[in-house]
Amino acid sequence: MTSIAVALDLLREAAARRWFLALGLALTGLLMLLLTSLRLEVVDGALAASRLFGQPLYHSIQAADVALRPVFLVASQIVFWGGLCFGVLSCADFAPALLSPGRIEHLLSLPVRRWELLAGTFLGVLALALAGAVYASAGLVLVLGAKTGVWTGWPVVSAVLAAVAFGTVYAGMLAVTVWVRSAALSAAAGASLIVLGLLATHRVPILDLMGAGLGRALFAGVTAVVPPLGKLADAAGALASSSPLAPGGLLRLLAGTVAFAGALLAAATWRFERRDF
Amino acid sequence: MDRRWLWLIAAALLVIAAAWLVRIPEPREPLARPQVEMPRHLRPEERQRMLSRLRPPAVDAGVRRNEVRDPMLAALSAGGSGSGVVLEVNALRNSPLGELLLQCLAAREGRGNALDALQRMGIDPLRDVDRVGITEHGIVVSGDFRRADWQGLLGTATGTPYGDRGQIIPVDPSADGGGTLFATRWGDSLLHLGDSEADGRRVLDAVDGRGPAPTPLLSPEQSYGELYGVVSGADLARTLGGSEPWAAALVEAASKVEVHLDARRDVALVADVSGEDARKLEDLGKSLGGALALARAQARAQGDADAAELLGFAKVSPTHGNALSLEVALPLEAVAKRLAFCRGDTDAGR
Repeated sequence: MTSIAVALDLLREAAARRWFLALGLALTGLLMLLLTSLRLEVVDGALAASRLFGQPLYHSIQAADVALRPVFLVASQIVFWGGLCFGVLSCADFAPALLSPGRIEHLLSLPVRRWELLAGTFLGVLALALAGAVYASAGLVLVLGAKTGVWTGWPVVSAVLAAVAFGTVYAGMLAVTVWVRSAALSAAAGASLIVLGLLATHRVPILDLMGAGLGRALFAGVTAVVPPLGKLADAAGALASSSPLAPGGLLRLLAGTVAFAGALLAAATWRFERRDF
Repeated sequence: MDRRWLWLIAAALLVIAAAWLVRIPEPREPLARPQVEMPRHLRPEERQRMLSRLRPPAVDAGVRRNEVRDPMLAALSAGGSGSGVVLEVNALRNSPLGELLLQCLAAREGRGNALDALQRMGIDPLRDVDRVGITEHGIVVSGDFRRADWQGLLGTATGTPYGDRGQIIPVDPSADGGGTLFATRWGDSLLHLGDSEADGRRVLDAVDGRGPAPTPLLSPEQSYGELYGVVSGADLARTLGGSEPWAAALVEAASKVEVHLDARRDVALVADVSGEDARKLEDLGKSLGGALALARAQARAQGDADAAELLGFAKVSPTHGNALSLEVALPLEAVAKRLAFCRGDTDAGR
């Protein structure tokens, strides 16, 4: 419960920041723009023809949900990668602010365990990422659903994957901040984790291009541990666009991503417990 | 134990769990990297083989030279050709790769008949043929042809005598056309098939040691591996056509490519490329290395894991002086898999 209280405190702090206010307004504006200006008569026509004749009249007519798949796919990728980049930039300052002189001493004087402080900060940021991703994807589903009559919940599930991916990145940012209290370094760590996640996605072909040696061994070791964010993004895209997906593989990937985030948080907690303030 | 250390242990365990969970299982076991010795020089048994093949020049061949010669290599040098390749048929036949090729040959309809026909004429290609050499001036076959039915093979047992042991026999064109073939025999151990009588005379002169010695195409010291030879830049250009960028670079930079293939178990190929322009050779080395890497990446992208792995066994050694070296090693299992199609295996090529 204490962690949740810390998380709520962080959310209150986020609400006071212009970054998140701007994000909320931008997302709302984009959704309103889609709602008012998107012309979907072609899709409507296809639906009407299908309903009237029981089958498509010509080959270019597609079922509306099929026609919308690329839209959901692109939207999921924007939410995933855009969310990661925005999250790294906007959340880089939370943990350094938590550890700032005066505030951390005050927090430690309260009946709060150190690990609860870290967990609360992490949960708060995760809730923030989840809220942003779900708001964007659910808004898109609502707009397109209202326009076409196609209702699907998968883009929202896909947004949850994006939030999980950001959770891993933020765990790394938090761990780095516990060692060195710097917002810039925290953001750099987040960006590095995203790049490493991309490299881990394509580690086999990249390893093929590398000659044997220390560099290759180092790359192989690091990318074996870091979750392949590209695969997670592909899975998010496949979910959003109702494409075939191996459920076992996704669950395993998700479990691995969560485990990696847990490892980073555990390492951060170990350091935090030993540190003097 | 201090409770704080539990966090570190938990982190380590979670990292291991993450590494295991995010690892995508390989669909199959990768091929073992072949541990082969690249053919770079004569092995002791090959040196013995080479020494046993050296013959002194003929006694009645005019000015007698002191040097000994390998008749096959002398015959290949006769036409002044810049390219020639020798296949050690006997050594190859007794290797695992030879077994695979023979199984292939036996399994394919019609091929066995050709072997049978030769055997009926007293030549067992698997036992009597020692080497086969190929140049632009013809084909040279060495071995033990004492049981050969020359009448059946060439249409006549005797031809125009030349030198102490030589005979040149014109062979009529086959029914489906083509020019007259000239078969040149050197005793019962060497047979040359060429386009002209002059080719035959040059071969016999070179083997007997008459006249000016031709520039050697391959020295006995270069006769290592189950296949060896040299290919000139011009012949390489004709063979490759220069359609690919790396092939065009190869033709431009290479004046000579020396090839040696070892097939005792895993297959190892060394191609030493030499040229006059060190910079172009360096560029060629980079082009070849890049082409290999690109081909490997393409094969991987197209899902051809076998090809990607096989390409992974190839490497281009850095340029030293005016030469560079391309090494390719293929595990026998990979070769067997590739040859499975001709043995009728259902999973061939997969």
